Amino acid sequence: MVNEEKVLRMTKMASYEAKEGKKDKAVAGYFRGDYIGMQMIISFLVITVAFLVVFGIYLCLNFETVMAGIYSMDLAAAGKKLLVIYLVALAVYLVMTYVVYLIRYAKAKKHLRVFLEYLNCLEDTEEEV
Amino acid sequence: MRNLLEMKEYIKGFYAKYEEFVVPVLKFLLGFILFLTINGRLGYMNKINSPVIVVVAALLCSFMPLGVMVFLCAVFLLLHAYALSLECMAALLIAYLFVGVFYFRFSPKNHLLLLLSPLLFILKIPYVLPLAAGLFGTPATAVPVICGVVIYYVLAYMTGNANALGAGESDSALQRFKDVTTGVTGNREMIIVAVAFAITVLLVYAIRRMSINYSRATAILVGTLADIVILLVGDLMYDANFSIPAVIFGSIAAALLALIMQFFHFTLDYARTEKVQFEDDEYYYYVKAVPKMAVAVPEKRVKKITTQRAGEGTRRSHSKGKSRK
Repeated sequence: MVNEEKVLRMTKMASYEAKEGKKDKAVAGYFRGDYIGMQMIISFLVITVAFLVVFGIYLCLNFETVMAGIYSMDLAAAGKKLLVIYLVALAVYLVMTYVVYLIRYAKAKKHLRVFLEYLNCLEDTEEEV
Repeated sequence: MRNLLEMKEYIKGFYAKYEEFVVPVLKFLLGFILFLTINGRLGYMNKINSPVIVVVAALLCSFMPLGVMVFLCAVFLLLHAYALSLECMAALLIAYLFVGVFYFRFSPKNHLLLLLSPLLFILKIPYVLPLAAGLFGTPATAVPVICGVVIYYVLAYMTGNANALGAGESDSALQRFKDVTTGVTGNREMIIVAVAFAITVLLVYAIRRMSINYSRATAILVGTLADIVILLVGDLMYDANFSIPAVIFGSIAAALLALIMQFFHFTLDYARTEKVQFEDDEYYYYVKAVPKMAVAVPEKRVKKITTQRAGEGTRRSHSKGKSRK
């Protein structure tokens, strides 16, 4: 005899497992610090590459001006200014990454916890039978 | 109101029953409209202007994930920009870099918002974007909205200056590229709209999450007003040349549209039909779960009004009269 309540529960679990479950398991497989740290390293690489691309474009656009004034330019001050811009962009991007991926990790953990509760309930009902 | 609720249930029922066909058809239509609009507005590369290519691309999108539609739209735009001038293509690639850095890192699932943003701008109702994003999404949906705004304004600059960009032989390529990038990044209207939309998304999201009566309707109202105020203040401060009637009437139309969307509760309320397979020690289960109908749809009662019944009645009364006699 098919247990209707069990089928209902298993349907919901199978549906979750087929969709968000896979991603949530991949996320929750890490410790929180490791997961967020990994994402921040990726973000660091992304923003650094993007910054270099934008800087390269800026140099291309202002090539003549830069080359004309390169000997009279205070290179240390220009480098410092560039570094400050890069650090501000990096800090903003990393803070955004931290917040977004912290929320994502918490959500994945929460969903998996509910899934495990369902699984435990299912095991209990099977044992009762 | 009841009629509207019934209509909503009919749509839900129809969607649940024919989901396998409805979703690809809707995707096809969206893709078709998007590719047609891109070709219609830009259309600098004749090779991809053919309706056959548009239909084939839309058909491809109909059974592929929405990400493919985003990719194909990006390729169409890039090809048109390349046909116009190499500098335009480079400027568009910078916009794509912006989208890649923010959208794909923080909110990569909201393809629909990214696709619809430029389209809604063309339809003159872009103000519905932040309202819908705040109502149905998370604060992270501000990212695709901003990316859509940036893409639209880059394209608007390209189409607005197509003649100068296409035939700028006197300047060097570097000078033209400089003109395009300064033209786009110096566009105050784009920056004001992006800031206004981002604030509106966050505001609408915060209000609709509050435990107050009519929180969603309040969120739409406050979001619309905030959007109008920020745009007008931005216009006053930075002289961005917004059309004030367009902002006000567009915002009112967007608020009405958001209310309708809220009523029909697109994307969230439409529980899909699900087919899942699993097994336990005794059985294999192949389950099809169909969402329930919430409002009972009244059965149709057919009343037959014929002249015969009246005739029968009189005959009966006659016969009764006769029997009494």
